[in-house]
Amino acid sequence: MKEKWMQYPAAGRSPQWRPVFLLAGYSVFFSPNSCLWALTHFLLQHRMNKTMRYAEGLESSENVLYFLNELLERRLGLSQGPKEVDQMALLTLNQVTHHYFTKNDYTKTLDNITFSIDEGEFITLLGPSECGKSTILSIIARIIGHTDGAIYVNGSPLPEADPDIGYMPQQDYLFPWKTILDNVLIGPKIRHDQSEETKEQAIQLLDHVGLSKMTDVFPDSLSNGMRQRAAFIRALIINPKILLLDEPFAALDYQTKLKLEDLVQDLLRYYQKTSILVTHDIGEAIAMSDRIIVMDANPGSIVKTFEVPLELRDETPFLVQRHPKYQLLFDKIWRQLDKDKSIPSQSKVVSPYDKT
Amino acid sequence: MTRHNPDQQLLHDYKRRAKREQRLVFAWQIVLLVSFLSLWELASRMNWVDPLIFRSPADIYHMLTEKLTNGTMLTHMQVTLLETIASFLIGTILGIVMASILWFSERLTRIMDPYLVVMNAMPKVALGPIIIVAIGPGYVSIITMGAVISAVVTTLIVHTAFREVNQNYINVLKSFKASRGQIFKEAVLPAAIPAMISTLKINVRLSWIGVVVGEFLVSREGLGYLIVYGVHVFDFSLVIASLILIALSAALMYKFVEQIEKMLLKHSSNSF
Repeated sequence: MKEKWMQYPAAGRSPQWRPVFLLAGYSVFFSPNSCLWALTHFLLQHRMNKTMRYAEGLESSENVLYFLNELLERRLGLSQGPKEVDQMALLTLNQVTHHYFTKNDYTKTLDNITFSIDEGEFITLLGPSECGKSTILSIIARIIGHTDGAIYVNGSPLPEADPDIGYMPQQDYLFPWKTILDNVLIGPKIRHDQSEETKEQAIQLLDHVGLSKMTDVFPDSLSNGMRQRAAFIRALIINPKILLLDEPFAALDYQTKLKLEDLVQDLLRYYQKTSILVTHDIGEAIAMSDRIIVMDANPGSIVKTFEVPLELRDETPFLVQRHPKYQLLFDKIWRQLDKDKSIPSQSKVVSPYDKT
Repeated sequence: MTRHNPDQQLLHDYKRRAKREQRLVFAWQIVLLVSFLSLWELASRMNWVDPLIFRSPADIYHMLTEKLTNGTMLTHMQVTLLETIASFLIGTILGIVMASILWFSERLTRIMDPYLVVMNAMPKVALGPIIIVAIGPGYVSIITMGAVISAVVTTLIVHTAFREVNQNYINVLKSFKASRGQIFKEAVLPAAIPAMISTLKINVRLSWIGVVVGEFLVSREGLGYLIVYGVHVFDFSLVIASLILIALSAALMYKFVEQIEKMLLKHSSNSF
């Protein structure tokens, strides 16, 4: 049987820490002053690190004031605790956190995600890969659970509030053993709705996206763009409260992508759907959404939110690229996402043949 | 006409080449068989091998035609075939049912894990005597043996296939708030069909092993019984004739399962 003190991690188990402990023990017994000094130093260092990290996000003097204000609020304990839940919003995420646990370790994939989305709004989660943006969608769709924080739908918390969710994954994931029509009708089937009405509606929607001739064929005879359109209708047919689009255009070639973006935007406007798009494509984000939430990785967290100017919201994904405000917003978001805060401009490569 | 179409001409040439290759392969197969049989006959006649044990193709041919025409061989063959098909079906269905139960409860899977590993590693034919003592001599215990052998492997393979179904299919259904039963029915079961069919092929072989060993141990009828009986009375043409019949019917059954596979896999094989 080991003695009790042996079970403490640093003292018993790891011999490399032993000298530190001896030194610490020595200072406690023989010079309490130096011990106190070390403690103060450690605390200061910790505080400084946190502050410095926060200050990195600053851009202008305006933000400095904001930052100081927030710091003051924190000191006074004003901004502690969860924020008020926005009763008007359709969906609110309040300090949602997600961890992956393994036997000996954990990974924090989402840290303190707080945002809300109003009815009929289209927002985009934009960020580098592995920043947990898809995880947020999975949490909202209740495919996986969050580990901390709360989600509210119309003011009442999940899981009691059980909204209808339409989910469109990156690859279509149409079932290869079902025809296109059966694939589209899988959502209603799960809800035990196999009425002729729904079927007709499905056929109508498929017709609208140009798949009227494809209802009875299997997915393997469709092109990627067609499959993605079918997957979109599959998500839309159940008339969901919130539509989640998880990089639905990422696997398509550029022209198919623009066309599909246009089609999806049209349909979403028509049905006034509340949607959340996940993407790493800045142009796509500007073209599709009303609001862009920029995220960062390790752990996944929200860095900044951009409103898309009203003039850009009505343009098609193709035409919006010619708008002057598009470029402005694009550059802003680029700088936010880029680690060096710079726009790649002139090539710095010097050809060895030019030397002479 | 179409002949003047260069594409058609090329296709025609391609087909002709393919056909020639096919004929060549077939010819070689025949040559191999004929030379093997004649070498055997020759070896037997010239006493290169002991004719009492290895007999000769002519002997066996006479034996087969005689026994098949008077019907004695047919009843034995019928018994063995029925036993094999029954144990094949029972083993496969039992395995799929057990795999499904395991899929429904992850905890049960973890609990059963060591037992499944032991069951899988153990040679199931060693259970033969115990099964016969427990159930009693007769075709039921023979069928049980064939079924046990194939059920364990089927459980493991199909359960692995269930677990390896692309999570995204399941996620799509989960977003529609599907129950676990619905997920199983709509995504997991159809996605695992290729794996199930590949276990069919394995099970054909395994149930033949189970049934033949079972007949070795205890029976009054069947091809396995004929082999043991032939050895006892030193009638080796009977042994070899039974062996040939077993080989042929097993191969036929295998081909039959392969045809079913081709029929079923039209739409489920790709995109996994």
